[in-house]
Amino acid sequence: MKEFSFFSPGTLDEALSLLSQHKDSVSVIAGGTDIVLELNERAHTAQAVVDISKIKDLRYVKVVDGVVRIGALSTFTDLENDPYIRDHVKSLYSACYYVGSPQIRNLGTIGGNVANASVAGDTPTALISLDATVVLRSAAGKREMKITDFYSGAGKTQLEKDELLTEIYFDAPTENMATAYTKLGKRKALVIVVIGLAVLLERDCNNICSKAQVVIGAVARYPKRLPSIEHYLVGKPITKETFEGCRDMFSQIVYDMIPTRASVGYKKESVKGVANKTFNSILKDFSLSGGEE
Amino acid sequence: MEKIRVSFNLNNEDVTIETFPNKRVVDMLREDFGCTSVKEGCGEGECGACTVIRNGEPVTSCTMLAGQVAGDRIVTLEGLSKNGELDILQKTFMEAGAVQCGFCTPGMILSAKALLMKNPHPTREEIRRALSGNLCRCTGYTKIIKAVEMAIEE
Amino acid sequence: MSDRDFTVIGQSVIRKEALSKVLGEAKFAADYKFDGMLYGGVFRSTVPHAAIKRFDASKALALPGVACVLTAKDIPGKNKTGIIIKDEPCLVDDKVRRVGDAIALVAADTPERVHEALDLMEIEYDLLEPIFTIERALEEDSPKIHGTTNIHAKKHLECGDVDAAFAKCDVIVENTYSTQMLSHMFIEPDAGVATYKDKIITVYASTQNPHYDRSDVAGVLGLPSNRVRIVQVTTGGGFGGKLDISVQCHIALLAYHIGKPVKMVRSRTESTIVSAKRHPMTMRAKTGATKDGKIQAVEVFMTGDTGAYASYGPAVITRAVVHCMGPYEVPNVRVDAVFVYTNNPMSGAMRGFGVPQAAYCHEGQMNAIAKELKMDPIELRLLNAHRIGTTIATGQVLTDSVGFKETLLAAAAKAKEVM
Repeated sequence: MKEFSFFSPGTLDEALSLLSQHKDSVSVIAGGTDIVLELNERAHTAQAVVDISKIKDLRYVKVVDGVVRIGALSTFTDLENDPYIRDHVKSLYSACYYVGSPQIRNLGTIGGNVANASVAGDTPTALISLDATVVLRSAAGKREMKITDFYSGAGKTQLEKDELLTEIYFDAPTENMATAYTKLGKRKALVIVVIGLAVLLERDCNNICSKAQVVIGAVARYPKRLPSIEHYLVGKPITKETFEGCRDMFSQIVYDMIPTRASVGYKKESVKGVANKTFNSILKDFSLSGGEE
Repeated sequence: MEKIRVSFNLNNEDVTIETFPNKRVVDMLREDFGCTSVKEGCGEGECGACTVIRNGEPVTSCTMLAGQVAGDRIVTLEGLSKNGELDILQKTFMEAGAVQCGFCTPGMILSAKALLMKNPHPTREEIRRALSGNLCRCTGYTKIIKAVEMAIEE
Repeated sequence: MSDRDFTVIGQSVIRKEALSKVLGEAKFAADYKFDGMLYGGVFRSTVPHAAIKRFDASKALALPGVACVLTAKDIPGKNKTGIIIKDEPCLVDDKVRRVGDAIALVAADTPERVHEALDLMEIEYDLLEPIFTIERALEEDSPKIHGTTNIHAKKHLECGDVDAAFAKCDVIVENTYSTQMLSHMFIEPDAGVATYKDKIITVYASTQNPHYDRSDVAGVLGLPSNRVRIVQVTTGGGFGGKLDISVQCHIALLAYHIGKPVKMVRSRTESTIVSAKRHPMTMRAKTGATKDGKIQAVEVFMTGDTGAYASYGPAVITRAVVHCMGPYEVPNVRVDAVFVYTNNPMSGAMRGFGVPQAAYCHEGQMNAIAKELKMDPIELRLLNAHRIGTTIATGQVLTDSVGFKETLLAAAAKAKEVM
């Protein structure tokens, strides 16, 4: 590891002032599970490293006025163990449940996962399907944007060097909604995602789909909403048959995203199974036949 | 480069060290404290050989900077046996034949210990998940899981 | 015999070193520490095939804390190592043969300084055409990696009259099988410490082959064997991958030059790039049977990629050849094998020594024959299985310990249970 100065602020204000002071060459670590490796391999260097993991105020999950607010320093383990997330936001719960290993889930944070914008991140896929908003703070102020806008830069995020991602929030799913996330990997643990699929569906009193937010991750550079699938689902009854009707669409979408990639043959077939599993989970949550088990 | 001062609790003892900030926790524990039970197998949080228990939870010490453990309680395998008395897991790992080359053993025992501290009666599936971040390339997993189950029974 | 004699015999005993391992006290190579110890590192090639035009370590040498930089010309003995064929230089002299070839060594006071010194070394290459495929290696106009031919081993095995046997077969299947390179991924990356005291070099290393290590270290240093000690310390897995020389000669050379203990611990990346791999092989197989299911003839042509250095290639080729028929009686056999050098990573010993590759081929052929004959694949195997008294293609008569039928039946029963 090359040389750097190390700071470990205890408060957000302290952290923001350090960032504005060192913004020319600064690296922020929360869990550190990605950045420490890059520093260690000398691939990444910075004159200052700011460890924000000791800022206790940024580690929370709360539901206020129908909005779920998650502090950026909540670890994957925190989220997996949070009863509200487990019972009401299954997509995010599953995304956290399958990250890395217990050790990595104890260190890694949701803020880091979003801000680091790895192509293989699990939680961004789920958060986009929840239409989440990120809160960015700097010494100069605060701005908010949809997570989809956060990722709109080519190959990078909208995060400035003097900014911290402090919170992620989204509307709490209602009784008429179900969410699900499926991760396809080469094995069960310690695995990089091959395909991630996150879905949020809303139904009306006649079991007709009234809203669909479907996101695929680990295929394109960033997780992508799938408007054609969403369009197909809205207005249709929520049944196994409806879901079966869009399997081939998934295949085509994956093919169109990465037609020349070596993995396309595998991914365009396996996405059908991934979609099947995800929708079965939705059916189960709506207590409809065809759901898993 | 300026040294940093890190105070934390290591194996039930309060310690303070002046060390370089560009050291990882695994390096600090091995070099500054002589805790060589903490092994580096991959250096990227994939193999779990460098696992230590931090505030009751297993973490990979190769993915953390030394300064990050300030104020924490860290347990390494050196801190598991008390006054020469082996921890139950250390006994069952021996009895079950869960030790082969031995390089994964420290991390494996600590992941199991962290599990039992939280959940004294885990199911086999819970054991498997708790150990899923620790690789054993001799592939002695069956006996390792048996060792944890033996520890639960006692 | 009294009961006292059976306290160990027939008992399940706890392995001797288990206690030190569960206590975390067992010392692996990276855990050794000596007074005044320095750290070593290796400057490695980033190209697969090249002559070195210019190498300059002056900036690295000027770095405070750097004790020395060594290249091939600092080797007092023979710059050749290797298990069977001594074809791997300790440090590159004439040319680079793979990505990761060792070009220079550095010793410094901290591991961080070693990295800094390596970053400061400068090199320029005259690139040569790299060979990545067996086909290219065998072409007449291809560049030669060692000497005048890229073939490092050839084997031929023949028994019976293969052509006549095929003429009488009712079914013949022909297929080509390819296997890939594999890495052992022993969990402990290669490491070692060398000391030079009282004119004795002692190497504490993670190794599977201390006796071979000794002759290579003695050869490189030009010392008689009685001045070289190799201590195999607790070793974190090898699976064949720690049979080749790793850090031993390098740390010995550094310790010999500066008179201080030197430790070297490879990162996972360095270990993976440099350590031996399982041989990638291509097997073109022709198998014939009569309609009763009896295998009459097998013909195989196999090629293997041993990479830049032979390592255990000459042993692997033999094993692969003699196991081409699998555990089946085949009266007429012809196998030809050619192993070649390429500029790929070195292939060597890995659990099975070429037999798993051959198994992929003969089991594929058995399934193909079963399909042609519409026979149950297990029936077909039982019909042709080795038994006590079988004479195999090498002329060896199997006189005992032939458990294949029982194993297959037990496996089939278990498979039915779970399927």
